[in-house]
Amino acid sequence: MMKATSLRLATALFVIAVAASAGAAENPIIWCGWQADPAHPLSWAAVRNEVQPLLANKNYRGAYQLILAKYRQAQEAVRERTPNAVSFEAELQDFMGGTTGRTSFQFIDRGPNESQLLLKAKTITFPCGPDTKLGLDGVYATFASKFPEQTNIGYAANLIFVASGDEVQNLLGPAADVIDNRATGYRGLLLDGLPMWPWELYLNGRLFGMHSLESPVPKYQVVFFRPSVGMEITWPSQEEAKAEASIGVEPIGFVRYTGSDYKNWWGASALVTLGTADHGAGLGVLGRYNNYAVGVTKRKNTDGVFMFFSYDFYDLVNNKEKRDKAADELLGGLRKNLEEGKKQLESK
Amino acid sequence: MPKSNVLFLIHGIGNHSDGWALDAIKTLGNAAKSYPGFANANQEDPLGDEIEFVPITYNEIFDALLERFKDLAAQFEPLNDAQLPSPIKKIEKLSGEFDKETVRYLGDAILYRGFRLVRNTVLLKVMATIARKIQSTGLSRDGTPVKYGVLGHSLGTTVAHDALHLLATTPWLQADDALAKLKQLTPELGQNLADRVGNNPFSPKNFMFDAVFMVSNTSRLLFTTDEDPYHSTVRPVGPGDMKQAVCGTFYNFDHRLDPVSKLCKFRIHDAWRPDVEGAQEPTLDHLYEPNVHNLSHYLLHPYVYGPILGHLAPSFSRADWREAWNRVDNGKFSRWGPEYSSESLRKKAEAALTKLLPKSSSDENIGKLIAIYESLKDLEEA
Repeated sequence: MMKATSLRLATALFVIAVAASAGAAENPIIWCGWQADPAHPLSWAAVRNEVQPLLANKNYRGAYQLILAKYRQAQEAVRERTPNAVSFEAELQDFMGGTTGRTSFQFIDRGPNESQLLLKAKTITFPCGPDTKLGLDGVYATFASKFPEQTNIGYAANLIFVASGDEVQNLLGPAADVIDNRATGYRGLLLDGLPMWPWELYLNGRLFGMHSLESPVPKYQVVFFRPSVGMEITWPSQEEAKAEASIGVEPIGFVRYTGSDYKNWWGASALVTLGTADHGAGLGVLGRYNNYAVGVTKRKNTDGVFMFFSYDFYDLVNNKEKRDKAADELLGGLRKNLEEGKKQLESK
Repeated sequence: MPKSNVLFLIHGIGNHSDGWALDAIKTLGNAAKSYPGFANANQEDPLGDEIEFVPITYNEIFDALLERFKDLAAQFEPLNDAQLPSPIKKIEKLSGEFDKETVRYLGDAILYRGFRLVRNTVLLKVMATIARKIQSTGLSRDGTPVKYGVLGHSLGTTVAHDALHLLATTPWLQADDALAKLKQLTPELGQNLADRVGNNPFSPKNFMFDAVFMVSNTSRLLFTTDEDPYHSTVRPVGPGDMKQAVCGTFYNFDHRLDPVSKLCKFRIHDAWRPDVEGAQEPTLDHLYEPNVHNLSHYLLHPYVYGPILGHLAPSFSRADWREAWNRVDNGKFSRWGPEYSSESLRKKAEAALTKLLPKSSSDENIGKLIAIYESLKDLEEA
């Protein structure tokens, strides 16, 4: 019994606290930078307790119908029906029927002297500043007393705009997720994937032009006249083993990414090599996994095949951290070893 | 206490770290302090409770990409010249060029304009930041709509134009079929959302920025969207084109002596005449520093900060906004800064800037844009 009383008391206190905190944020700004009058029957403060539960239950149609009913009730009290009111009600009906959007009910500030509602049929202007012709002094109370019908329209527009914002909010998250996903994808492709030379970047951009931004980011990349430094090795026999620094060019090829972060890929390309020693150009194919590439080439004037290892592959083999240094040392070292080996064989 | 409204700031060409917008925000704060609406505000941070500034950077993408080019070219360095075929020699020499400031400037504009993958990456970053911020802040707070504004400066006007047009016109929810999933989970709600909101909650019928502020507009020179800036959705809503515009009001701020905005100059009257009610292009000819292209220099002018504060800072009343207009007419805002008190200094500064203005339409290309940037920098340093 005691427990149930405490629970009821706690619940009541919670409800009071929530109501008080909600009340603290009253008096929102409406049009012309004016503060809303909480006593107005169409102010947020006046309708909040009825509208909020409908919005919380995602019963948006119910919320709009309630606002429409309250608006009609308020206008009946004014007993006036100007073209503004006719246009506004038509816009409300179109909105309920889904043929017009919520931004019809967004106040547009046109400089310091007026806010506007741009309806399909007409623009309703709310003068904000002093106007001797209209007998306005730039104060809300004067406007509201002179133009009660338009004041009702202003409040109702604000209510519809706020309530429909809740409805649109449901889809902002999913849309933002899609945009985030595409942003991460393109960034990954550009900055984490296989680095592209400028002409490759241009070509891939042209090819990806077929993909619209809302579609998933492509998982492939075209390789086009891609030069790289590597090492070419041939060993038809121990005596004739050769290793030389080589420039490899991939005239055409492709890369396929295996993950959504664009950090892993495999691919294949045609390969043309140009060694630093005079053995002519090599023609062949190259396979690539991440930064490591191995190719096989054949040269016109030389028997046997050459193996082409890309720069990064050597980096892996030698476990060097600095790519430039590693390649430099490796090229020099290999050549020296080979020369020494040859000398030893010759002396034998 | 949550801030009232949100202003996205998009920078121009050149290096911009995370704090790039601090100067601009301070300039706006200083301006606000001089109006009655801010008499009781925190004088250290007068806009602290009024506007949430969201500076967006994208130049780190250009920098990272230029570094990648540099690394690719550098792989040939260990080989001596004799070992390199001549085309490769040219490429190898490029690696040294990528550090030059000119290349960094050139890079921003050329990479954006010429390379689709780069601009997709830039634009998606900008759109993702805007979309996520709007989603997390919400569309209203306690019965009051939250107002959103976008300010682009220089190249940032092009980025803003392209990003806002794509944000508004791309059917984001089609690809992942998010709506279909929603319909499965809650059929009635899903169907209602599909009918009323559609496949893009950022489309003009669902969402509109209160104002877009273009400062030194380059969008006609560098835009990359299918529609050019005179025909895209980045324009103020008007009675004739309902639900096709991304903003309520559009401001084109163009200083008379700013050479950057004169290349393929954006003119509101050419763009949307006669429906130009929601667009404004005030005349700016103040001179407070040699580089009139600087964002902070633009923001000193009441015709510039007035609308920004008027749209987004609740404490800046309509009377304050009118007062901002008046300060230009009544001379309370001086056309000349303290450093230009003498006639000869003004003439000299004006002559230096006039010399940079493009002479003919054949001058209107990216190369000229870069030359202007360099000259402005020289002026600033001199």
